[in-house]
Amino acid sequence: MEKSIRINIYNITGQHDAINSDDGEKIYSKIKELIDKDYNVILDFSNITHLITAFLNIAYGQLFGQFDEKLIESRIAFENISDEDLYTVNRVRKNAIEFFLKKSQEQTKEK
Amino acid sequence: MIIEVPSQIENTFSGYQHISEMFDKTQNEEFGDIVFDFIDCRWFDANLLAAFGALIDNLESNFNNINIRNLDIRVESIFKKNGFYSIIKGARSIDHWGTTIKYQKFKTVDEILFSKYLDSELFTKKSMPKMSSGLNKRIKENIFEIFNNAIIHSGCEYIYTCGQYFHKRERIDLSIVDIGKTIRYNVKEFLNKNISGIDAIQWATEESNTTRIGEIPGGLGLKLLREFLKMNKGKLQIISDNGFWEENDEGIIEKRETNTCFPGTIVNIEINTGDEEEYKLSNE
Repeated sequence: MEKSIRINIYNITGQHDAINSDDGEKIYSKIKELIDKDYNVILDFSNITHLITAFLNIAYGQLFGQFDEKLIESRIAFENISDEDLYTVNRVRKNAIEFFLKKSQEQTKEK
Repeated sequence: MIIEVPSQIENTFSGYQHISEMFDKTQNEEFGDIVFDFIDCRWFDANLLAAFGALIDNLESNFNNINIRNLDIRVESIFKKNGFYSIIKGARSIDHWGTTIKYQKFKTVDEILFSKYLDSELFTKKSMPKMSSGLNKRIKENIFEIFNNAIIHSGCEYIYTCGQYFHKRERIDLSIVDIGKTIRYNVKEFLNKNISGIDAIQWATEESNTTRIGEIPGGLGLKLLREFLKMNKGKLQIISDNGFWEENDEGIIEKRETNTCFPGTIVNIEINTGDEEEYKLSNE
């Protein structure tokens, strides 16, 4: 299935600031459910003026602990997002990949 | 108990040390009468009222009566303009120059109120300097990161904030304070080894280091804050437990141990408002 579903971030946050952890968790759950069901996801950042890593780590970063990096990149698209915010997204992605890599290495060591 | 407030409480190592000492001296007080005597105090940097306010709030929650006496006229004026005085004496005077950033206490769930506070005190206030939209955005996002760090890591109930705009120096100082688990406590628990307050702060400011346990990555907020302040030629100060850590406008880090422990974390940022950088970052 290749259908894309749009998630409007502002509709979940209800404000221009994407900063709240609970909102991040809601978005994470929606994305996870859609990927599990083989959908593509469009994250629409229309009307979002402030975006922080604490929010993105929850909404997006923790997906890298559930799915393969390539799968995430092929399934999630970012729309209506500024270059500055996309830079933050990329920092969160890089950090998340390193975080889960380190975690799996530690788990291997323990075994 | 009478606490004599020292002559100068500034955004320096000794200023933070004085604040920590006041916490230390009063830490076991319950159902008492505590007097803060300002007879010798001639200067109190306004942003540090966030930490002093946290102290008074903490003491009041332990059923102590607080009295503040012998305020110097200039110190009293600062306290009145930013609303701190109203907390202790019930009156606020008008800040004609509009250079104060109000003293405020937030619950950790008050993110929306905090956002409105930043807008009204920093970004829409007529007396505040005109900054580029890119700079405004970066400032607000970085302040949110600090607010969130306090929520995630300290387990505190309240967050205290206060600031001051120095128009001649083109600087804004803003402090965000929590009384909760210190950085040293969290890092010590996470690494499962003894670590000094200074080393714990240094560890926390490095990329990817986070004390968060579980499936959510972290450790970027302070790193991005440092990067921003470096570009902005601003300053970052972190005080937690017995650690004082500062990165100045030239990127030089100063680390010192305080005599007494601060029972939480103070993050003070000094923003260069004369910065004309557009902050248009390209995608990696």
